[in-house]
Amino acid sequence: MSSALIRCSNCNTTLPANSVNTSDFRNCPKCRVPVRADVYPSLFRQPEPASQGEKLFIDTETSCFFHPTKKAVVPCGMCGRFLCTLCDIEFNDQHICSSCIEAGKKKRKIRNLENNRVLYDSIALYLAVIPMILIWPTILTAPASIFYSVRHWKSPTGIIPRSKFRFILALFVAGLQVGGWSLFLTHFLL
Amino acid sequence: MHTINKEYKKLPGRGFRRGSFLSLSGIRAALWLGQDHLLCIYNKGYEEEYRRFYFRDIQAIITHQNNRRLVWNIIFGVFALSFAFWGLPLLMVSAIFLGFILINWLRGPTCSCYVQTAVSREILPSLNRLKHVNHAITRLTRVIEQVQGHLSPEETLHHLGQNALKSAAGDFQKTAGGIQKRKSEGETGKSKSPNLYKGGIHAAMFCALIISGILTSIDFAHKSVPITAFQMIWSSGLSILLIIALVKQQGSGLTQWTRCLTWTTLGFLCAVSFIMYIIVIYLTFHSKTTIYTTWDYMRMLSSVSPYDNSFLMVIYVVSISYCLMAGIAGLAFMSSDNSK
Repeated sequence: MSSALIRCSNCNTTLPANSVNTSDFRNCPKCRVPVRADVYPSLFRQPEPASQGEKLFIDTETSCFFHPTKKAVVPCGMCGRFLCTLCDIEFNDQHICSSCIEAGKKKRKIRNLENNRVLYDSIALYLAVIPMILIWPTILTAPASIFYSVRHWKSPTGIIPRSKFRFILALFVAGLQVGGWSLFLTHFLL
Repeated sequence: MHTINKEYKKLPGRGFRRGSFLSLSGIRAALWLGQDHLLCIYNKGYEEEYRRFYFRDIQAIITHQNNRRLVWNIIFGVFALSFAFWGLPLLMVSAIFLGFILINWLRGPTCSCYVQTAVSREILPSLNRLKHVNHAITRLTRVIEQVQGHLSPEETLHHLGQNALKSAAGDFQKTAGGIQKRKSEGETGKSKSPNLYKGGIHAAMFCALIISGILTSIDFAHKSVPITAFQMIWSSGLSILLIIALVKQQGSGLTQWTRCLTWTTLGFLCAVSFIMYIIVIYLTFHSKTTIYTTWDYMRMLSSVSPYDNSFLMVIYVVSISYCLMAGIAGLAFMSSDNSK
């Protein structure tokens, strides 16, 4: 993607300029497959030169926390450390240092840095439903599903808000299984 | 809760992330429109993975039409036909496959949509139907242009024209440099050979396909155990050649027609194998003699004549026609490729 050229997504041939941003499909000159290309101004934007950080000329000037020889330009929006232009990361309309970004990612404080989430409600439901195929494992999995549902009732699930329906269904199905096993055991064993 | 719900808006379309060779990974994909980014969610069932494309970074959205709808309709059609020939009980299964064909057809033409940034080009698996792509691109263009600004057609032509010239100059330099490098590497004996595959395996495979068609014709005219056995061994060899050809054609200079024909042959072999599997199971259950060995199987297969069953007759005729036509067409494509 180094050069600002639009290539066919099927054969990687450079598409002619008149077949771009036409809002309809034009045949690729090489593979003849209908291709539609919508381009935006950032394709032609030149990358800004990387900042080196301004050096300190007077000892009394405020220096960067991470680079004592560089001039501080902004405090970190989360920890308050002074940052030079080299360390300043603009993120979510805030100026943040790299260590806070790292900590935010680890502690899941910054939502935009989350790459994955466990779906506890789906796991609880699978735990309640799938073992029903073999029947016997439900004697263990039904209580486990109930425990898991209660344990993770308040845990965050997907990044897109989900209802508690799966937890409720898991509790209902697992509850029925526990009830069934209780009846079976009391009737046949006791 | 109400404010959180507004953070992301669902974009149309759903699909599966494609895995490796001919496989579906089973990971569902969906697209959501955020405040400043496009969120692609891959749902594994027990976990969600997120991929964000910030509006300021999106350079282009490229879509190409593909023939996935046709391929699936052919697969469903083969299944529907193979079940329809076995009478009333299996007619319901056939109807289900016909229903799949109808749904697939009604969902519209298929396509592959890619989002390009400065450092990557990634597929958006959920945008796999044209109607979804058109709708999604309209909405995306609106929000991207709010962030990046509008690009007039004149500006686009101007920039792309300039870049094409720069690229051509760069390519020329690279080619010249490459020739120089290859020369020097040749002198030192360290040259790396590029993909110079000319299609030898493909030619062998198409020849094997023609021979397979001839063998099927002999089997059709005269049923005997050695011919059936030899035909099965030959089919296995053909399958191996086909797989090697499919691997070899990656990144080679073969034309689209040859590649398509190779893939179609794979589809044909899979369909024939599936149908033969059903026939063998059917015959095994309806056989009067007990089958112990592979030889018994051969005898059982060779005892079934296409003249006794109209379905088998159709299979034989289609197989012979396809093998001969595809083999000859493939060799013709290869010879025209070589002459060019």
